[in-house]
Amino acid sequence: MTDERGRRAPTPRALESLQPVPDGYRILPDPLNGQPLQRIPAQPAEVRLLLSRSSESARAGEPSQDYLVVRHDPRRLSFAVTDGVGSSFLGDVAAQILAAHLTEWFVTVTSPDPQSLTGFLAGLSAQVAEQVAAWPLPEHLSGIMRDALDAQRSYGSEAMFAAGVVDLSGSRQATLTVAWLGDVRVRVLLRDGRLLDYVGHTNDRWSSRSGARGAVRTATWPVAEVARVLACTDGLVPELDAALALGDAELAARLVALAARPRNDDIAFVDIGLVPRAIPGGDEATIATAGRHARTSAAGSVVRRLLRGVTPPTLPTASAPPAPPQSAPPAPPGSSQAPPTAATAAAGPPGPVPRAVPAPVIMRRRLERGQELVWSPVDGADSYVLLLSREPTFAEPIRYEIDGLSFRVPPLPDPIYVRLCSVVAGEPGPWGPKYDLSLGGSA
Amino acid sequence: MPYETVATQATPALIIYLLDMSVSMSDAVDENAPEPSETKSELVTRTLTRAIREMVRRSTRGTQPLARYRVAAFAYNDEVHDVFGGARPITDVIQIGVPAMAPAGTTDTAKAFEHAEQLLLSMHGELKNCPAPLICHFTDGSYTDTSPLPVAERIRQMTFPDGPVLIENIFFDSGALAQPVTDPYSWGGVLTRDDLASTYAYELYEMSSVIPDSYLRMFTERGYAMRPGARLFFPGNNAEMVEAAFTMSGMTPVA
Repeated sequence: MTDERGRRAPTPRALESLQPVPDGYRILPDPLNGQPLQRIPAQPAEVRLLLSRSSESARAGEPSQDYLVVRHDPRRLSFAVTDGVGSSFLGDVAAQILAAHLTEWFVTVTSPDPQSLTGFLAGLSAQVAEQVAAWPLPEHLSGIMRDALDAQRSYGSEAMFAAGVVDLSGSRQATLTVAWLGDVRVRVLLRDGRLLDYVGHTNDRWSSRSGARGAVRTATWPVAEVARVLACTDGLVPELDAALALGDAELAARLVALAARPRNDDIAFVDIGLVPRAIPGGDEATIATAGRHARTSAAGSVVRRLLRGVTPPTLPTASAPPAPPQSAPPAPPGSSQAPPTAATAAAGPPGPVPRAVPAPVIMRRRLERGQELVWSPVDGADSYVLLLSREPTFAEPIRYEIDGLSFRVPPLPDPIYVRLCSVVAGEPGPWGPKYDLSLGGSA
Repeated sequence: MPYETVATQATPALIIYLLDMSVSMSDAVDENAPEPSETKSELVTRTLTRAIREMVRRSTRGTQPLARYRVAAFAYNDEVHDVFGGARPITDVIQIGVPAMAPAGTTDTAKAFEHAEQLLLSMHGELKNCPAPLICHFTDGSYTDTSPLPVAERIRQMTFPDGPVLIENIFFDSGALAQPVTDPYSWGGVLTRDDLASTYAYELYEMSSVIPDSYLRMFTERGYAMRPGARLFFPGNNAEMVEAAFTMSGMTPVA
């Protein structure tokens, strides 16, 4: 894929002001290829991280809208996890700019607090607003597409974040500070076993045009009280507990499964252990098992290069292979005596075993145009569910939820089969008999 | 929770537009304007284009539009014209664009809803993991012969795992509301029949679904003040109201 927008990972112009880290490193993963689960030494701490693209992004050849940066030098470890707002202009750009600059800012301030951070975010907007506003659009875009992107561009690029800094000096005054804006999660595990979760509002974010929208929050602890801190975007939420509990191999497997779900999202995840073995299961063998291409991918090589303390050159632009198309689950047979519940698919699994509620009995009326089904009320029934199918096994029925006692059959060619059940207090009763509504069929 | 399934490329949202193109749609939007003004059909083309642009915006990753929506449009008078050639991915609709439509003839609204129903029936199998489909109907006057209410009611009874099919009505008529809307952004929506002032407005109200919470959240984020329990019903002859209504049609949650 050609880079028509002049951006690749990390956004070159946006990050050109970053200086090399003396005696340390900066991790800037490739948002186009992602970063398999990887464990990085950050003496005296340890870092585990992952950046995963959603299948939608992969199919479109687009980078992850989430991003992460870790910066380590002998005195401080700073980190940022960002989530680009999809409805803004190139949310991935905001995510990358914000993550990189937050990790720099955190190592330059002595006492990060909401006020100073809000000021920094305003200054960052002033620095990049013009750059985003002038971001080139691909030449080939059609009218509607160009209009849509133009509107987005004038709105600006936005991202949410969780970020922080750990003082690694070992002094008694050493602290951990975390900050968040928007719905990027922070989880802090204290040495006394307490678990603290922080998350902001979904509508809060940093805007390239207007700085912080919403209230920035911070929290600080003595490093001596903290065992571990995790920050992640909402894509990891279904496996957040697993991220806390599992070693690398098991977690990597869970995250591969998460990424395979039909509606998976991008994931950025940073996990920092501040005491030995705070992060479970990190031996070399498990890492190797966790992600086979962690050792061979371009993204993996980013980390190794960065360990030498330099910002990496722009990476090759080959995109990851697209995820396989999602296949619909097979529909179970619909011929069971129990009807589907209101919460299941029309062709979904059977509902609960029916109680002593009689099934309604259908009568058929021929109309001038088509036919109408009527039935007598069932005591206590709130509504009725009618299944209509083109074949007698009801494998893929069309489901109608009906408040009244009649139903006009839609115009469909023969054959047409129907069956009916009542719903009492939200619970479906037993199915009545199947009816063949074909001309000459029995009702 | 119903209506929380997100639209993705694998599970795109289906939006069906039913657009009244009877002869009265060639009338000016502002009949009292001293200069010739935009016609109602031009208003539809403009605001539908805007709604599609909004869907594109909500479907874009980077600079790539993703097919998170499928869009069908039927322009109708006494006949029904398939505007896009079936339900087309939003990525195709961008290329096709919204054509200018020529108003003529009478208003067979029931026939338009029957076309929408047939499309839903033919696509039923491929919609089961998707957000519940939405039908957005625009009209400026009552039907000529047959009431669309029975077929619309049957469509609203058709239920997918995400919820029953949604029907939205836009009624461009100055006499529809008991209290005309001056600012669509501060309008709370139609909550009861008492808000209405004409027989056909009652009928369209009965056909209209209650706004799902997920749509309401998105709509509120866009600056509107619609209240919980309001119907997907936008009456009145305010062009901004029509824009708001078409915006609402694309408020399916997206990934």
